[in-house]
Amino acid sequence: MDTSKYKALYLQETSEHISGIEKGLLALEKGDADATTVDHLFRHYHSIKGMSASMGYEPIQKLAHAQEDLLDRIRQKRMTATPTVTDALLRCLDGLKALLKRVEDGGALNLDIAPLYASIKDAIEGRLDQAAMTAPAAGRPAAGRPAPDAAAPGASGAAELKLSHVMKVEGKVFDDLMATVGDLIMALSTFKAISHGSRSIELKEGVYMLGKHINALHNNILSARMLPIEDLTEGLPRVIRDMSQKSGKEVELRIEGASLRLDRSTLEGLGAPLVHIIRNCVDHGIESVDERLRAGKPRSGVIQIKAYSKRDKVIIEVSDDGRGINAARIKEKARARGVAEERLRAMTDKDALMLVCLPGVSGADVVTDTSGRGVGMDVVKGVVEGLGGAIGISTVPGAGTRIDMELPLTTSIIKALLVTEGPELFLLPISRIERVLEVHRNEISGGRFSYDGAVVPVISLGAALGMAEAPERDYYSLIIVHGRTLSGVSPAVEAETREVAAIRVDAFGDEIDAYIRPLAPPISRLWGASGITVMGDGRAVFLLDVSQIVSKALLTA
Amino acid sequence: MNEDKLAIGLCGLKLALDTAEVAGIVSVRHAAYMPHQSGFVSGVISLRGEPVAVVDVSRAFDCPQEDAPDKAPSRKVIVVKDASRTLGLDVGAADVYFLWTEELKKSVPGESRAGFAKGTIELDRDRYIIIDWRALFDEAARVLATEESHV
Repeated sequence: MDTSKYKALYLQETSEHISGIEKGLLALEKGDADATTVDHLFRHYHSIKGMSASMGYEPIQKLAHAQEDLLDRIRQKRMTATPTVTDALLRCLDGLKALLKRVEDGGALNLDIAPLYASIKDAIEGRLDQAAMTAPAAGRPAAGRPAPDAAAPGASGAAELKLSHVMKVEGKVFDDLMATVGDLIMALSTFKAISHGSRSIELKEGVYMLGKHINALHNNILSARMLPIEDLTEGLPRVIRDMSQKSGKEVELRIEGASLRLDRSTLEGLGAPLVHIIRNCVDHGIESVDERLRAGKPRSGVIQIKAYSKRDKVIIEVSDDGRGINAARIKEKARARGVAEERLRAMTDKDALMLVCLPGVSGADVVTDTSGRGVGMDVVKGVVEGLGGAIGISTVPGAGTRIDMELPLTTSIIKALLVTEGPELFLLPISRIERVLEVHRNEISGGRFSYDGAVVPVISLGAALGMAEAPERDYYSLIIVHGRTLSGVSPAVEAETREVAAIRVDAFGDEIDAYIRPLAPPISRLWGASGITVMGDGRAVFLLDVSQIVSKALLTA
Repeated sequence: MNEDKLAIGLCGLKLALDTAEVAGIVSVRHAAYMPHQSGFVSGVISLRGEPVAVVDVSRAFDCPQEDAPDKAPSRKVIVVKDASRTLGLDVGAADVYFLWTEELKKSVPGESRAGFAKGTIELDRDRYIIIDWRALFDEAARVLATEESHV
């Protein structure tokens, strides 16, 4: 495993433990240490030992382990922390510091820790004497190895006072920074509009430079907000273990690409959908051991999470090697829920799978306490789309199911088109727009419009959002949008099955970079909007949820 | 009960809020329309770059609608805030003034838990209804969540 990317975090964490140890040992030496101090000391050593083992820093692990042993004896009152013992521990601490300095500088961990190690062993065995303690030093080179730099800072406990170059910062600080950049971007859009209508070269140049610096700032903050997917997946083995035990099934989890980084807000949003998909896999995808053996499959089912990037998107695939989804059964359930027969007949099996994302439609035969009630995949789809992503499902009966989630690297700042309806301004995400047209009202017939060789439904935005009816206009703007995207299908199938509609608005305006804030209570469950922005002039403008608007219009058409 | 209050004279009623909970007063000509807004929810404005949902106080307190704030060309929105909630109270062109602690010392507190009131104070023969804006916030959240039935 490539551990180099965790070095900074390791150094920061160990530096906190080293400070804790130093404080504890000094208290121990003064006789001020109580049982809690000794417990804390023990845990500090234990943590350094564990982290160093993970990073492959064997000398540090070994030295920390020896000291942990000694502390354990003191903790259990099997020995006393005499001045000689605490002195030995402080010298070993200096040794640890010297080794950590080597890690920081990228040097070899070739300090001779044998004398330090021996002193701890002597202390444990009660053979420690002062003479033995004064001979070895942390900086002494091992025989036959290059001499370490004896003056290296950190080799002695009192050699240097310095701060770590890695800082621990609360996630909220980055959220606030992003919000500030978002506001800057919105203010920049106002300046861009002013400079557009101005002849001043100085103003245009100024706005260009401002935009360049805001973009650089935005990129830096984005990169600071990025977290590896493994931060999210590290809890999954436990979830799967508990579910396997409960269901009596054998399930193995494999994760690939977990080091890929996503914006913190996207990653946070993915937690619940990921757990839901995994639960579906265990409850309904993976078969029992007997069933698997009868089908000639290995006893243990496999759930695989694979993350990879594709252009500016991240794809997270969750697949299982279970029984797959029966598309015909999904269609039956959708029929029972009132989905039009004509629509169902026109659907391929692949399309029909997406019906599991309708509320109340489940592919499961068995309802468990965690899944199978048809409540869940609709929420999963809603969350993924709310994050600006798309979901796709593919299955092979008897061989397994794969759920693909396609997500933007960040959701906070998106490209959006301003549209007006009456006195109101709204935003539509550019990623959902195919084309923008200006048409005469006569070109819209019976709520339909001919586009690209097909007839697409026309949705009046005002009516869809429940606005008061406006007098008819001669000309309208039609925003051709796709209500959903299927990933994991061929371009031909995607073109054939895409849910295209025309949203009718009074007019359209500029394309802007909009800083989108999530909808907070009391409007967090507002229908038809997925976020909100505040324009440079202070106007609040909703980012519309195209999927919701189009789905509703098509259902009621 | 004796903390400074912001008083609002609206359709013959005297309403009051603790000034400690007032984050700002904004003069607006138009609050952004909220999809399927209904009841006393009247849109969204921004205060210092933060979006704020707005409710129409005259509707919440059953004022005759000829006095409604949306009839006023420019409206006052009082933004109230606590650690987790922010709400705009649209009071139209209502008179807004302060009642200071000193003068409130002679006020007499009264009980009123009806509707969106969390109590009253009597001062110089005037009866002020203390607005329970958190109840307004909860009701707005309920109304807007119910709008999911539009799906």
